[in-house]
Amino acid sequence: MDWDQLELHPRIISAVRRCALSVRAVLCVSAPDLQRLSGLSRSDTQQLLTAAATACRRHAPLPALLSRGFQSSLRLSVGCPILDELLRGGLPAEGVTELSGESGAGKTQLALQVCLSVQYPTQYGGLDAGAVFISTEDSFPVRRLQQLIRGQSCLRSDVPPSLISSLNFSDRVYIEHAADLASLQECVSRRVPLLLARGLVRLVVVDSVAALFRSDFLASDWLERNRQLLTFSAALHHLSREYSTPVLCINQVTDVFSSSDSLVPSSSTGTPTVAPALGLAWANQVMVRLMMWRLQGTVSRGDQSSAPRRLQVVFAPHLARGGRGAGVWREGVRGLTETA
Amino acid sequence: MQISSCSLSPAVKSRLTAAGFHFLSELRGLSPSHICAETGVSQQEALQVLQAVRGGASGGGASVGGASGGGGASVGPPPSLTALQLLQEEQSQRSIFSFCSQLDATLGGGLPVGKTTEICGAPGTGKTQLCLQLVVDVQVPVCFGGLGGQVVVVDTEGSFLLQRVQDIAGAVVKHCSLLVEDDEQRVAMTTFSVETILSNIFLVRCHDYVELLAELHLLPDFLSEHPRVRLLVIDSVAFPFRLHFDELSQRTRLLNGLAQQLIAMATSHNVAVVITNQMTTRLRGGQSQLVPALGESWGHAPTIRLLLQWAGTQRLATIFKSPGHPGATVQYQITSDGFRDADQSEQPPSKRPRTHTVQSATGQRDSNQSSAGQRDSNQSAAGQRDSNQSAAGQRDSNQSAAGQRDSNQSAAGQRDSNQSAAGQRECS
Amino acid sequence: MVVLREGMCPGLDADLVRDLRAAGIKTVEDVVSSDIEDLAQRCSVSYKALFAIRRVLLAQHAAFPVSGADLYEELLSSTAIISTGNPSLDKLLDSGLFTGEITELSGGPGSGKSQVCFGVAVHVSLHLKQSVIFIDTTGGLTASRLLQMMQTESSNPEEQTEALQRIHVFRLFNIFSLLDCLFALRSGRLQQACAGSVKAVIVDSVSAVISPLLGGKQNEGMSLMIQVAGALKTMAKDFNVAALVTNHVTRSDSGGVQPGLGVSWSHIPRTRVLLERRGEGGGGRALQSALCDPDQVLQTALSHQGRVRPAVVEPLERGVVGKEKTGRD
Repeated sequence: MDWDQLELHPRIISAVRRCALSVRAVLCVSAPDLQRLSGLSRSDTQQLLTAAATACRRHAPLPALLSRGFQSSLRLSVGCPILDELLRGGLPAEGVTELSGESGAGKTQLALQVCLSVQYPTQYGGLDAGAVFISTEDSFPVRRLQQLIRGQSCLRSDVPPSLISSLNFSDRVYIEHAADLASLQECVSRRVPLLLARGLVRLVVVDSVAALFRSDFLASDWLERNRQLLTFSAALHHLSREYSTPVLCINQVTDVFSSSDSLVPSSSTGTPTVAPALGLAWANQVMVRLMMWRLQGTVSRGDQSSAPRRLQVVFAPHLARGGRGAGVWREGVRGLTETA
Repeated sequence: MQISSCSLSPAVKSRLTAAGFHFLSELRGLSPSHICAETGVSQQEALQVLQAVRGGASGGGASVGGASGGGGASVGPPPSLTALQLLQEEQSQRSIFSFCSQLDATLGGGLPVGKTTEICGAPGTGKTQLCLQLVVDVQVPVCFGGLGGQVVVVDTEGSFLLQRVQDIAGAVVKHCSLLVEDDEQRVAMTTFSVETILSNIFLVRCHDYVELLAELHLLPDFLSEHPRVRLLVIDSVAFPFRLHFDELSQRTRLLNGLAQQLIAMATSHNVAVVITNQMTTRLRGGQSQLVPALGESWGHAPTIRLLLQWAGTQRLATIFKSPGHPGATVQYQITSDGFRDADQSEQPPSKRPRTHTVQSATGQRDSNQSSAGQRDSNQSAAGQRDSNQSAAGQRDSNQSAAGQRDSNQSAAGQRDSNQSAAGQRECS
Repeated sequence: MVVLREGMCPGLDADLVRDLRAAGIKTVEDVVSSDIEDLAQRCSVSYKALFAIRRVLLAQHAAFPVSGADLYEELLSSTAIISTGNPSLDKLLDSGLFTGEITELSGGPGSGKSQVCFGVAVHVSLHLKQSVIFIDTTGGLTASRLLQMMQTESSNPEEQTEALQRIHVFRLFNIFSLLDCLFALRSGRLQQACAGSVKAVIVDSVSAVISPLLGGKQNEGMSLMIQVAGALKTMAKDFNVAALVTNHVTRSDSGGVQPGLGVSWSHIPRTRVLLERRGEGGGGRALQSALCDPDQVLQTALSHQGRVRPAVVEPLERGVVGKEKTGRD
């Protein structure tokens, strides 16, 4: 943004040029100091501030009715009508969604499934683009992805088989490995924006956020850790907004022994419960928080059987706190129908 | 008035004082060219000086716009009014009710217009939900006890989801349509719909703190153009300001300036300003404590500070500070219809959706028992409903009565869904 | 430093002013500090005339020497002590707010600063039947709360109405309008407008308008802050009113609190009171003053119905925040 583009008297522009302030920086200087720095009169500084503010804002306040056609109502289906119903259509197209749970709860399964469902056209709940999968923990489960791709025709009975066979799923899942924080930051600030800018990708999955932030820091470094965490989440938010792309972050859980900090509704049973890792600093950055649980027992479907899972909404601005049972099958994660 | 304390450019002020002028009165009666010759300021600057002299002499010190006035809201002499006038002004203003009658009662009828209110809470406690509820409530027509106003929403987190606003708006419209008694209300209902509610919400997205500052600088003009706006919501202030700040003193200064802008806007344009804030942990004496974010001095910015939190399975709202109300804590709940009173009946724990359900065979037996318990509690809840209605009858406003009824209905709805959940658990 | 102008004193005519100016003499100070003999030669004026002018100017502009005893007498005769309406706060403040001085209340959010201000305003207007100027910079003034406080003190609605009319409210949200207002008050115009003698000026809060200009690399705020301080001080002195201001607190790394606005401001108020919120639920609040009994902590309960009500006065173990002043009469 340059001063020349602003509708201002040349005298004011040359004065503000002299004190070498950018358009954005002007707004962060107090009015008396701006007068002192630029030597402008009070009314001139007011004009300057108004012009700078106008340049910085994207649009004047718009009636919400008009913005209904915008992206904010777009949802990315997770590939199962029952779970979509819980999520009221799926993941919001803008915003950071967190999925946390113990190991074996099925977090990665669901994430992989979303990587495939994003590739469908919008009328089938997708976003008609690929996905980027940033793996920080284990190696990417390629074989499981192949298995899921083969199972798509079984899972998505709503989609014509010809469409499914025409989609080249595995070519549109981009895999990134980040073994340390530096490479993770590099990844989200350089390589992922490139993919998004070219329109190749409209889903970012991070599996998992907790691994690096939990392992790279000692307990005493929490300030530095929080700073890094905020930088990382700022990058994610930026990507999500700029390209209206859903971001799905997988998180680990930690044991919570005292529920005195009243962050979450404590359990009624009084046993140690678990909460998503990374604490309040991260929780403040998340728009939708989901949790997955592995329950005891088995459920069966046809010739397959699975441990029952539960997908729970912990908080979200548009969702009620609630959950659905689910099972992990060969073709993917499906919700269990809740009939008596 | 001293020259050093008027709002001239500092360079001009230092020239004037160097030339021996210390009081504005000394400059009175001088011509611009005289001032130029005496002090070496430019002709234009001399004119500004004289303007300041005249302003100081006539109107008891006219402040030319404010540092925060922006659109010239505060031109003219400082308005002086007696506390009696202020009291009349306060009494003529309606407050925005929240649909949670307990919260409204502790706030003396709802959220006051013309003041700034901050809602703090950890993620998931319902800050955004309360904001959305207020966004809809402020539009309730005057004949239903609302304000019939418009809203400006500044969304910094991207959490303003239309889907949810539609839910809440639908519930409020339905609620009002049940209350219709006279013709005036019937007429009002013809235009009060989800569509009009959405068209009266002005939405701005701000992606970082500079955009937020820019927006607030321009908002006074927008408010002047839209005099029906009665509520300004910023959800949240903390989000943009907690990123990218290495220099804390700069952040504090900007936040303090922002606070003054908000207060000025609330007072001069007669709007309620609602801002949300995140929580952070502070280590004090080896133990951590949850406190509102953005530091100690920001705590002075809002006039009223509400704290939302979980206590066990209950949601609690606490008035942390308010000049006009005593500190108090009330329960609330968030239903599919929005922000509501908590059910007064004691609920068995199994009625709440669980956060963790590591269930075994014993767990199933538990759920059987609890569903039996539920039937009992349903009966007691029905009794409660009766007593509620009679209590409401004593109160003269039928509105609160209907609100009660509504919240009971929704509670019943929840009960149903819980039963089905329990049923599902059994079958699995 | 007053500019020389014709007619300021006998003998100083337009020609002489022009001549003096040509000789580089522009202000009274210049005249007084220059060598008269030399000046007389340069301006070709008589030495006697110049000497007379200098004497008159000195008499007009010099400060009048006062003996300490006279000052003390004046202090005793003019200073009034205004009760805050709260016996134990009065005790802490050495019987109340002194006119001609600035008293500061500082404390964290929700510590009850505004409530104490309301209490003082109500007491002065209702019981002392004097006018109060209340400058509200945070939008926190709630008239219904004032009324509520008055209702617990008096059951006469007329009395309450009159008292409410004696509280004059200015709602100012930036530093320039605050300065304008203070100067206008000082020039006496508003004093007349308020009809009746003003005994207290309350600024709640002074930090709200100053702190947006302080911090970072901003210099202008510091000078404006000192001007506010000067205006408040001279007003308190000239009109013999008690000035009560509130300030926020900052938290140091160790977790302790101290009044805001930094070191420069800390010299401005004569008395600083630190309010603290003790315990949860808004029950007890502690007040500390650094004035006469540095080791006193006052527990007050801010009750909903009435004004700030004292609970106990108990000694405080640790040191006090603020400055220590002893030996006050």
